[in-house]
Amino acid sequence: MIPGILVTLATFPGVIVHEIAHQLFCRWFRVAVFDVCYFRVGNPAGYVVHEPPRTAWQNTVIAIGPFLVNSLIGALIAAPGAIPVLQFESGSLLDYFLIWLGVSIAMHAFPSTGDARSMLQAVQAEGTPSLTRILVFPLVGIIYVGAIGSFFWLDAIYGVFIAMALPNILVGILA
Amino acid sequence: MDAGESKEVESAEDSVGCRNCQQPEIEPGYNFSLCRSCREQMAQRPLPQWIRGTAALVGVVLLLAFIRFPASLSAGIAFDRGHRAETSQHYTEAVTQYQKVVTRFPDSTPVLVRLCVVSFHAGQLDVTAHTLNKLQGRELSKEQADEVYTVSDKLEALVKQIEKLDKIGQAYNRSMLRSPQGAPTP
Ligand SMILES: [Zn+2]
Ligand SMILES: [Zn+2]
Repeated sequence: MIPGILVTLATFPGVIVHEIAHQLFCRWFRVAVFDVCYFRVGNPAGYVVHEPPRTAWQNTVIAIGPFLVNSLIGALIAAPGAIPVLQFESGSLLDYFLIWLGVSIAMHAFPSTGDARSMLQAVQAEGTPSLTRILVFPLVGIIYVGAIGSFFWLDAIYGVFIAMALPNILVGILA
Repeated sequence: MDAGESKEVESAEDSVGCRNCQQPEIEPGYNFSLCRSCREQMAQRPLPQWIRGTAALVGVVLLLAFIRFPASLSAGIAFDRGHRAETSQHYTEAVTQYQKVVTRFPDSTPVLVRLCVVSFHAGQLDVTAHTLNKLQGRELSKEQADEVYTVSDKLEALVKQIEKLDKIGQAYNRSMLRSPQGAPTP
């Protein structure tokens, strides 16, 4: 687990952004928050403890909110650095800083197994409309795959892809 | 490496009022028994100062990235368009596109190599000479080195030929000036 801890330490801003996103989505839906850990050396590296939201839909947004927020912010921060570094082999210190921060944030986009578990509970809860169940259930599956995939560096691969490859793909499309 | 999770607290079935302040009036619609004001307060849980600070820093970097992005993006697009123009042998267009990139990233070896090659094909030999100068002493990949040396050799040969032609031209001019027919007419 030592490389895992080192990687978590090196990418701590991503964990913080991830937990802030959970917390702000709770605030948005008026869901009581009992405890927040924004970063620690441990597993999980951060968490938000909150009451069950009123609907499975709200639960889904709280669980996958960080996925969208971290992906977007990570991509936007890394993009201006990723183009010169990959294409022109001409990156300044600032470009490398942007890439580090962007990759750090994007690689913590993945929902954790805890997020997946909380979504699964919401979907299985009594009174959840069957349409929500049908829509959310596959999502839970994908999230589980992602959370388990973190073990095989899927989160890191995703982070690097979002931060480095995406901007260059965008260039190819726009050119 | 779990990034972080959002845990839920189990709901209570045996609720006798707000679980935080024991007030009897709980807010309907939730599984967890809390009064309206307690829920409001807990949902609005403030972010600690150091988290606000970190978020603000990320915001500043995001702004910086926004400012830098257009220049990087247009340079990336110009490089791509340059490649396309080069492969379809529109060398003048390729020079224009690569020069856009060089303006923004003057030290980029891959771009300078491309500019060196296409400017030679486009006949813009001053650009070729200038880029060759800038490339001098740089570490190049084998492919890059092959291309650059080919251009450099051709340019040198061309310069020698031009010098030769120039000498012939000068000799011709001198002989014309000496001969009566070559004298300038008043
Ligand atoms: Zn999470
Ligand atoms: Zn209360």
